Amino acid sequence: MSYLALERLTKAYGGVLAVEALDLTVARGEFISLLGPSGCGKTTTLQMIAGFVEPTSGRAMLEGTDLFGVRPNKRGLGVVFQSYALFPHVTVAENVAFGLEMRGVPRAEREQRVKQTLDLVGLSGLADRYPRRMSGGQQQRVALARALVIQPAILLLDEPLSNLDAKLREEMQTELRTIQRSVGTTTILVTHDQGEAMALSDRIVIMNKGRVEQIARPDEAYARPASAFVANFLGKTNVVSAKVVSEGSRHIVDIAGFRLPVPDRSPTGPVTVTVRPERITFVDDPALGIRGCVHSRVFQGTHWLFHIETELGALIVLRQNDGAAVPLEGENVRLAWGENDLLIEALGAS
Amino acid sequence: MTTNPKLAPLLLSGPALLVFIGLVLAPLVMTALLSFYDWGQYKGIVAEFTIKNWHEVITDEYYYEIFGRTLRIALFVTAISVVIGVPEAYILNRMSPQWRGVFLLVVIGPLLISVVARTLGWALLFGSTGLISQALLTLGAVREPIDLMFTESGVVIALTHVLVPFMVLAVMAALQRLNPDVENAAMSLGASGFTVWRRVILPQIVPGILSGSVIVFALAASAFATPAIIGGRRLKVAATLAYDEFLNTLNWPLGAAIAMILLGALVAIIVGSNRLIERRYAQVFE
Amino acid sequence: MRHNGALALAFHATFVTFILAPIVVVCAVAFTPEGYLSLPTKGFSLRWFKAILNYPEFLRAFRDSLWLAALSSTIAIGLAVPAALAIARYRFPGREAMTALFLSPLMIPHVVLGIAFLRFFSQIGLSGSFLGLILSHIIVVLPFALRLVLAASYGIDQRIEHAAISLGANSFVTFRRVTLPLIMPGVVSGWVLAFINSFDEVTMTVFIASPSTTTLPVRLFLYIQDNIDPLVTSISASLILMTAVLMIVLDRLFGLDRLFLGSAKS
Repeated sequence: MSYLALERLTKAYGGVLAVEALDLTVARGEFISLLGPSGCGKTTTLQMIAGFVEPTSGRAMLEGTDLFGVRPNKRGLGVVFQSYALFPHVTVAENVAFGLEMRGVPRAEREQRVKQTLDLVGLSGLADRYPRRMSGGQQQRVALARALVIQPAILLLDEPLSNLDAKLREEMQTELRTIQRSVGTTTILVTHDQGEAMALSDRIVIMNKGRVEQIARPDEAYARPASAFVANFLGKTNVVSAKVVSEGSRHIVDIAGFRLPVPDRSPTGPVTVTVRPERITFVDDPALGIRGCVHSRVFQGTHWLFHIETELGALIVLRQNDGAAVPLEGENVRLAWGENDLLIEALGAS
Repeated sequence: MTTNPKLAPLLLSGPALLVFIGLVLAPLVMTALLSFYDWGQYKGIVAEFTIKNWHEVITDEYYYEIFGRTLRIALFVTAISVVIGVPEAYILNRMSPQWRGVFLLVVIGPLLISVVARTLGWALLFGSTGLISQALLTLGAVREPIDLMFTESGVVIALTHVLVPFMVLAVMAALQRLNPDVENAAMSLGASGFTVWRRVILPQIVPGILSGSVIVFALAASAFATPAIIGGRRLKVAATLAYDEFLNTLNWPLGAAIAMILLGALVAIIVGSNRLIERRYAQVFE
Repeated sequence: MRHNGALALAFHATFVTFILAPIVVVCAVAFTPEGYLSLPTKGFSLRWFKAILNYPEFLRAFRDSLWLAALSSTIAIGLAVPAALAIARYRFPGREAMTALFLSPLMIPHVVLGIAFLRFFSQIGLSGSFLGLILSHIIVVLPFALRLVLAASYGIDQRIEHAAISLGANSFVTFRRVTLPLIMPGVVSGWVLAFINSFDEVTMTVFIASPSTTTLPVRLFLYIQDNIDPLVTSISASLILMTAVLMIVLDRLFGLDRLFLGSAKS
């Protein structure tokens, strides 16, 4: 039984569909990310759940009741905004207490819960500060505390970390995940950062142009992307054209002469083939793989990044830095990959 | 731009500085001195030090009444401007950009129209045969024709009309600095529309309301053309009093003393309230 | 959620009526065919607009007002641009005090300025002269010009100028080719705001104008003090119509809200 179910959720602005018939079920306590480039509809989806934007059609069932029948200020959802949206004219403690006040929680209990929540987010000593006098990371924690203290049915996070610098962002990711695990609040995160989505979520909803491309566990979406768009969005990837032919009972993909068996359900004819740069290996066997020449190589600490010129175009190859010798710039190499490393789509499918 | 960072600002601002010292400070100092000069109906202005002008203005009940009226009018105009200007600014700010553009033109545009032309409109509307009186008679709201010309109420209404755009502007500026997400945040935490306005919006725009009030009050207290036309010679305020002393009675030293009191009072109020606003809100709003 | 409710719109309609009523009434009465103040209920007539031509003193005052506004705002902007650059660019002792001095005419009641200038000009022999009017108007409009130029100057990334210098431009060329074009919107809108404020100024000018050199608002004001007749409504209506046209042009060019919201912050 799902906790939250979005059914055919749609939002049109004029004739433009910002979100198109989105279906999603979320289990209690789950951490879901809506991931996609700007304009993909992820923020609009969140705002419809929160009640800041009226949906054009569709339902959002929370434990059997439709959220859209409830006024936004009665939905009991916690929202953390990209801009934090703290009340600048009152202190941190008063910010956090606001939602409890609105619920008529008595003063003594209010103070105690504010204190608990500030402890939870690591802001124990700063209750009497004004938000403007705090760092971005601290403001972020206040915003989180303010949303969590009301024990929301769902915690909605709208790009909460995108205004922080890279190092702080990584710290906050870890902490956010820890806090969410400890309080167990069902959480929906909107982000354009695939690293963040993969690091935090139980499942990722990858969106593009108002439509869902794939809903999957992070590792699953990365390993078996449903489309070239997903593959591309979830990290660097190579997309080349090839064709699939059927030979007797088998299907074979022919990538510029490099032939690999593929499952029978693969489409035949011209296709695009997607392969991750870390799945490509250098091989010595002149009968295997495709020929290329190292155009550039960049040392990135834990690994090497190669740009290889081939007859398919430029391919990127990522090799773990295990101390072994790697090809030099200008060196001729042969590239190969396994049949399970491929994603094959009929041409023009995406 | 210029190579020498010590000399450059002096050279750049020098011309304006000279003009201001020559044309603002010198005339003001001369007027201050003038207020201590002697004056007689037949001898005219005599350069002899006396405090009789100040003594007269400060002790005579005639002047009390006029300064009292000036203060009363300015306070009413400021209060009404807050009451109608703040909601109007909020409403304008919530409009779609196209409508906001149109109505901003309507609400703010009159600032560009000569105050004489605007006040003339009220002179036509007031009066026992004016439109307001006739409309109220037709509606049965009053039995007798009402005449707002040469009344304090008339001056307050016309001055509010002239000055309320400044309040709208000041509050709009404050509203536009607000983060629109904050309203949504308050709503998501369970606040109703009115609570959002009272607990979240209003406290944040108080500095804007206060600075708008200071502008409106200062301009209302020193207003000249509107009280002169609507109030006439019978209903004097500080500015029209000084005008009469200068151009009708020709008692310049007394007029100078009145002007200095008006200036001193207004500068004290403006500087004082600005300090207060800054101190009160410094820690919240950088 | 973010829409104005019915109550808000009713309030708004009342407010707009309040703002427009006196302006509309002036314009309506100006078209009366009668010889006395009345609404043109029996048809429109331009007789009172034609009547303006029989009062050359109003036409002369109008011409003088235009010249006065053009000259004083041009001189004011000429003083304001370098001063704004000095204030925006450099940190020097007395910077704050100087800015306060330049903006002080906004705080000094115009009636006080009028009295001070009347006294000052009568002492130095400039009473009732056009030069006196220009000098006094420079003072009252300079703060408006300065604020808009200042806002534009603070907005410039100084590294752009450094780039020009590194490419071999000298100070003057940098100013003319880089700085001035960048602050131009502020300069133009500052000049326009200064022009309007000079043209509309009445309180200070009434003290220092003489019957031979006066401005249109002052002449209109003095006339109204004695007598309100359809003639002043047709003159006022002409002023209102000209301002309305100017307003729409300004709105298209700069956006009226930016012009005013920029200047509403002090």
